[in-house]
Amino acid sequence: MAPDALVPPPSFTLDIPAVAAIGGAPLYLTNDDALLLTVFNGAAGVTVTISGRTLAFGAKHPTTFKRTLTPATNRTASTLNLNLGDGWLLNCQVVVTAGTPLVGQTWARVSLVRGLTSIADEHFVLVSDTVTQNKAAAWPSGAVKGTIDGAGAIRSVTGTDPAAGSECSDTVPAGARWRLHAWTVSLVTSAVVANRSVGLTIDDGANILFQNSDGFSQTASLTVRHCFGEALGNFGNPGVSVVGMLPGVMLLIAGWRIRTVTQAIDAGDNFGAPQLLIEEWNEAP
Amino acid sequence: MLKCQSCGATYEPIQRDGSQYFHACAPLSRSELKAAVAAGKIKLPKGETVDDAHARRTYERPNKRDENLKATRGKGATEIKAEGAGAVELEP
Repeated sequence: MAPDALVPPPSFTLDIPAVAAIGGAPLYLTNDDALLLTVFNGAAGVTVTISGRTLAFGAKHPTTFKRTLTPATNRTASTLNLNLGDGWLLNCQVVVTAGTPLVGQTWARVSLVRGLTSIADEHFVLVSDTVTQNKAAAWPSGAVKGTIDGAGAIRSVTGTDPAAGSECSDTVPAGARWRLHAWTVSLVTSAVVANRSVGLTIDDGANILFQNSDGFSQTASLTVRHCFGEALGNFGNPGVSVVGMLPGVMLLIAGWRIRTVTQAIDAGDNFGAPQLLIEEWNEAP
Repeated sequence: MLKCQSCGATYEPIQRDGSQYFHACAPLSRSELKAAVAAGKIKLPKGETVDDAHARRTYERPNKRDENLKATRGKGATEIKAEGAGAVELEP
């Protein structure tokens, strides 16, 4: 009788291709696992689509999956859970399929969680990055990037038009980080005789961090455009427009304000709505 | 176009690029502070003028409206920071 060592062991190999031959980066998932898609978005009309390929346990050919998510437009977290069943996740990607967000306005993260409830344990992040119609966040080829990595979205924001006698003030919204490149507003002064001095002020919601005047004293019954820009010196054509200086890099987080503090402002003086040139990121805490 | 009932300012809640705008009332201006002091609503430190007070500190508006969200996740993501006196839509 042949020794046991010469008897071939029984084969338990499934009749499927080796997962390595299927492509992608096989990641085994059980039926208790799920992919969690989390999106922070500040743009209008955006739909993101997550799609990919899986190889179900026992299957011979990969299958595809695709789901969409319409994220909130106020930079709050929007989520979607996908249970893919027992098998291997081969690859996946998130891309914008409706809307035209700029780079920096829509950020997506795909992570592996155990369970399908909102309190499912998150085990690790597969990929996270900003997404647009032409820029996907893909696994396994992509990277894990934060919400403020890379360039922000260049935006022109119209601020609040204050009532007569009031100051301008605009607040960085929740979930956003701004870089202020330029700011401008028009001030119409009343007939009351006084020398108004417009100061652009940055505060953290309570404490003043920066304040600069454009150095122009605006007298009665004048309409003057006041502009502030990065690293500019004070100059201008008094009576038409005047320019003041902003620091070279003025970064602001949620709750911080860009506002005027005007010496000798009269109850009849009237600012228009300021216009802000900003670079914006989602800042998901 | 909306009008804030707390400060009287007007603003567009949706920007030209379609994104949302969140209004928050400005602190009191010098002229508003002067009126509030004259009306006895705000008392300044002894010997301090309105100009001094305005330069030295920030006076937030009573019943200030702040439409910014309390948080970006959870319950706070559906609540604004301060309702104030509300806002009304203006006729186009």
